[in-house]
Amino acid sequence: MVNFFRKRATEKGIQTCPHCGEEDILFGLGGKCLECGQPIPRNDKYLSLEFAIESFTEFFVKYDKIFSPAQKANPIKFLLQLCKDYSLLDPIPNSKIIQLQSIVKNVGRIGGEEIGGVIVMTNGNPTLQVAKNFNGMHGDPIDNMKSLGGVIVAMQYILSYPVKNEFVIDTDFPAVAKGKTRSEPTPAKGGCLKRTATFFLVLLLLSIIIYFV
Amino acid sequence: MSRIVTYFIPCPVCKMPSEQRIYHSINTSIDNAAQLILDDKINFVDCKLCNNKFQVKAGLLFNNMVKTYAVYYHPTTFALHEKETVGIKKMFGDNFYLANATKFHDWSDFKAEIARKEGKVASVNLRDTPKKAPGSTMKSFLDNYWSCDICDGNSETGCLYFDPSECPRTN
Repeated sequence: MVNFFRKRATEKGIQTCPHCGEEDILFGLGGKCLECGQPIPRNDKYLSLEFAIESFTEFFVKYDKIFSPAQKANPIKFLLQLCKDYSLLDPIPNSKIIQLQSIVKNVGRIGGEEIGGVIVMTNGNPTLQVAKNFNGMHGDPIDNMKSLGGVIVAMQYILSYPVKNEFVIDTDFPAVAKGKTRSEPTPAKGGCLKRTATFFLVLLLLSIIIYFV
Repeated sequence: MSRIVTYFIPCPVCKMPSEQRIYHSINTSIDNAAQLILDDKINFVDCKLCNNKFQVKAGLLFNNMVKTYAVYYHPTTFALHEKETVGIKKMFGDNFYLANATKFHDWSDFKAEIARKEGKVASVNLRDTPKKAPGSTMKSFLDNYWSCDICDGNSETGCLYFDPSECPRTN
């Protein structure tokens, strides 16, 4: 995951920390250097969002062991489509960002022992639960902690990204998550023909029964 | 008939998705359909969790069968409506009113057009309108606004009766 951060940050224009001189692999997302903890300038808002989405997607796709492949299928499809479809020239629409924020906020728990811990959403904020069993952990523990820290910062960035108070549905027959099309006739005004007919039918049946009894 | 679709829509504030019924077409068989649109009661939803009220901007066709006009709103594209229009034209001819709906990308313009045709005043959403300096002409415009359902005229167009001096309203 650390290599992924470095690669993506380099592609977007990696900066070095003015205090310790180390490369800022988190692309200034948290506003602090991952190495020395000193303040670091933030990058372009939109590029940072792209970086945050790519990081969260990478973690969710490759390192999460809590969700089953079936549970992951839909969110991953949405996230990968988001990474593929949009660039600086074609910014992410407001509604897609709201859907993304909804996925991140309602993710519950992601991670696993192999990466060294689990990220838990507590009251809308991602928090880290370090794995008790270090034997199950793969790779360098420091790198794993940096990875988890980086993903938490990415999730926080996505959740705090400003959105408009509206939701756009692009098509007339879309399937955002569930699409039930229904044509509704106007409720009948007055009219009691059905009830009267039923009443007389019951009356007729009763009369026949009484007659034969 | 009105076309209603149920969606799971996340709230922009609390991000919790909830089931919402969204209109894609509405006609005057629903009581006060025009007024409901003008009052921002169609496709405006309340989040059950945080009580945030927000607009779901979706394609919406308003069809007044009595006055035979239609107005269409879509925030981004008219492509789907134009595709449907082709079928309507084939069935009912080029001049059928549903095939010639006035189209708008802007919700305020959409409402203003319905208000004009219905002879009503659209409610003004303060969040959408730019702030005016004190003494702006907006209030005086609204105070002096009138419309007539006989000739379809209003304060901007004036009386459209073929001979204004014989207008049944003024006489």
